[in-house]
Amino acid sequence: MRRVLCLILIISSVAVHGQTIDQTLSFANTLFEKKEYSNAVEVYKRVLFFDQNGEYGREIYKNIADCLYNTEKFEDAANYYELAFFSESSDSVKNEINFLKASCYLILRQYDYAQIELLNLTDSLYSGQSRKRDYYEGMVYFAKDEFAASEKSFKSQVSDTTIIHKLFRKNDRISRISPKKAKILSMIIPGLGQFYVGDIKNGLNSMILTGGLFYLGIRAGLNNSFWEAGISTLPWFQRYYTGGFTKAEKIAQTKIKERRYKVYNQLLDELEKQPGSH
Amino acid sequence: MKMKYIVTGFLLLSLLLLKNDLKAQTKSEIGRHRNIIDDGNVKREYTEAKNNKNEIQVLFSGLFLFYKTFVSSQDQSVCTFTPSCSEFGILSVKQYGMIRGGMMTMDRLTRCNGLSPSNYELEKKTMLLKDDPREKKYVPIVSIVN
Repeated sequence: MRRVLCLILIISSVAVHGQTIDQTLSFANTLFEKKEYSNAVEVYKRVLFFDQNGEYGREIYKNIADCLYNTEKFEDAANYYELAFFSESSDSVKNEINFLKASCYLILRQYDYAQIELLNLTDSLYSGQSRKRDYYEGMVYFAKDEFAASEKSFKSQVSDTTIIHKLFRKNDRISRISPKKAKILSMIIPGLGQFYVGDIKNGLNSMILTGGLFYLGIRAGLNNSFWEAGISTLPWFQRYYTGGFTKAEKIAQTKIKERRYKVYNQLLDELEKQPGSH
Repeated sequence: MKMKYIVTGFLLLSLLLLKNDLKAQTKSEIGRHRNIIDDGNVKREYTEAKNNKNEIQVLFSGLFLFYKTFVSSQDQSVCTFTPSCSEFGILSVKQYGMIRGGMMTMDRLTRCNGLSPSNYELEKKTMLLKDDPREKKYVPIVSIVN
């Protein structure tokens, strides 16, 4: 029995062998093709772990980055795109990697980094890449409030620029909204700043609340004494009066963001309508 | 004549090269970049006022929502605690009932002055003092006098 066991052990040690690095890579590529990105990334990382001579990195960095990009892990994706960029020799592919990195940084709202990636593009762009550059530049400039440059980039992507022009004029009107002006208006008459930015509900609310407290204070002053009115209602009035004009400024800032977001999405809608967008 | 062919050939070649340049971005690519700027949405949903089990809870949740919508919305953030006093009120009424919850809320209002921060844990994200009625306190809240 002991001999049989020894024989089994010897045979199995010869017959059983681990998966080779090429087999692992092939399996990872199959998962990638099947769009099973979260599984693929783990297998690719296994390849990297056993790749002691650094032979496979060049081949798989971009795939790992693509997997992470598709699973919405944009920070990690940007790091792997960086590795892929430096292990790539073709300018065309390098440009594509730059676009993907710019996309990651835009989604992460790191606009300066996204802009740096666009500046890293080669001077002579390959087919389709100049339009892509305009697309990304349009977004980066818009996010950085550089609207004139953004308008130029957006206009270069559409055949009819009329709507883009109108949307950017609408955006100019948004820029004219001043949070400071809203604050000062609410200091003069509570609620006026909110009306100025188009927030009727909060404007009326502030007006009624502070107006009510003011009326209560005057009434208490006339019926009793102004000293008593000051003690009882002035702290409340002061609280909602200062709260009102502070809120007016914040509401203005929020309204600017809301409207700008709407215009930005309308601009993207226009790009979607372009022939070839699918 | 030769020149004509060269120009035609050049134009055809340019068109071929530019073919891809005229391709627009895909919808999924555009969709991915729709939220790269702040949408300004700061509306908060008050989960404290949900899942009411009886009429008392419905009444207090209504009062809480009225206060939050029409009064607290016009105020600056002045509460020293998290959850805020109104949130503490509705949570304690829901957990301990109207009488005990009401008393706990009164007690909380008297403590909302920031004079004894050493008695509470600080929430680093909001820099407010933690005082949640849902958490059991093993040590009573009292001022430490040396």
